[in-house]
Amino acid sequence: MPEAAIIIVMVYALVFFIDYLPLLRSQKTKEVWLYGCMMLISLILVLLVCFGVDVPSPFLY
Amino acid sequence: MVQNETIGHKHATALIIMFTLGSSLIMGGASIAGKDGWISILLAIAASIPLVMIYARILSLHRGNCIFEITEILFGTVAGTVMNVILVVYSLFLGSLVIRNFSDFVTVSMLQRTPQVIVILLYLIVVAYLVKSGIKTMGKWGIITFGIILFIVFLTIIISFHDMVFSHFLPVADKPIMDIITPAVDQFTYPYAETILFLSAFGALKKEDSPYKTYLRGVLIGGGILLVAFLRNAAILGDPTLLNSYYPSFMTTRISGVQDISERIESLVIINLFFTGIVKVSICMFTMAKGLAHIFRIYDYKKLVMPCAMMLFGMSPIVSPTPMDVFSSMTKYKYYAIPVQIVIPLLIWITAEIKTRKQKGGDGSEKKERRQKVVAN
Repeated sequence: MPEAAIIIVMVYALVFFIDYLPLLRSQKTKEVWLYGCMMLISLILVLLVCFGVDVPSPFLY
Repeated sequence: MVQNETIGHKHATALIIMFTLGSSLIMGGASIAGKDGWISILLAIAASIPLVMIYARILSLHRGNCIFEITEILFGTVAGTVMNVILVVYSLFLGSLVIRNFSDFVTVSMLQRTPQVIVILLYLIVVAYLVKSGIKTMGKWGIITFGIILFIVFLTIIISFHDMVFSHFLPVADKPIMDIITPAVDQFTYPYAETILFLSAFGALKKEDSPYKTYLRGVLIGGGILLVAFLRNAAILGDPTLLNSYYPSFMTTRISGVQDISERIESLVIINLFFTGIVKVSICMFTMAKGLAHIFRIYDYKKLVMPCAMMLFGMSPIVSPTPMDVFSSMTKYKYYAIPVQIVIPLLIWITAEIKTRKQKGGDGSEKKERRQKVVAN
């Protein structure tokens, strides 16, 4: 599914500009760090899935 | 945290009903019990009533507070935060499991060539927008879609009535008792006891509305609809097909229909899954956002809705390797869920009762002392 990765990266960029950038400008440090970390973790996980990496489930296996 | 949000009991009840139906409506309730699944569903509803009464009692002892505030009031900052983290992780797990169920259903039964992550992405955009709109809007969405779901369930029963074979239910309970009890436990943990997540939202319940009535009505009506849907599926499919199908409701509506008048009514069941799934995932996302906001002392939980949506987006494709594993993992789910659904609420309830009684006792002795002073003077 590498084609899906292109769409996903575009959506993440959209979220970055629409939702994250105003937060970054507001200088609320805690929110910015938390938001940034969660966004980065999820992007890495989704891209790994898109490129066929077998990521083990943290819950059931 | 945003505290000016309120929700009425009708909207709250509709949310509980839709949450209870969630993905269970399409998965057909206790299908692994076969034709005796209706007994499992009844047992699960009966077992969930005392539990939801405990949830409601917790809310009534701390009116206006959500579970994240209650844990910190009762257990202090450290232990309270640990409990809050467990609840947030649980809501992340549950949310990703429900999204995975939904996306598996869509990619297995309809859009086979569409990448699963795209289906999940589109679904989460809708849910994130709903959660950002607040609990009141979620309640309104719940009440509108509840009417549609109810109509669809009864319409499918009327349309497929001529295909029903009521002898499929006979003989009753001819299986070993554990074949009925195990699905009942599964049903109890998924979806009835999952209503613990509403403890994060019902701090916003209007003061004049009773949390007991809201919880009880929600679980009973939701359980009733699940039971009716199961009876429809069992009467049409029969024992062997019911046991072997992953989505019995979809299968049922696919094979039934009035000739030349109404065919292909399975699309109605797909609408069911969309609507109920959106409510279930939105409650999980709401709990995550509110919990994280409380843990990190962020005033507005709505700022964390998008990162929570992205975490769910990242977790749902990896929550289980294949669609079949989602179903097999449901048997293990209860071991993860029971500590969150039963142990933590029990701890909270017992501690809340003790502290409330102590406070009342303290107030009573003060009053007695004052009276004695008045009498002495």
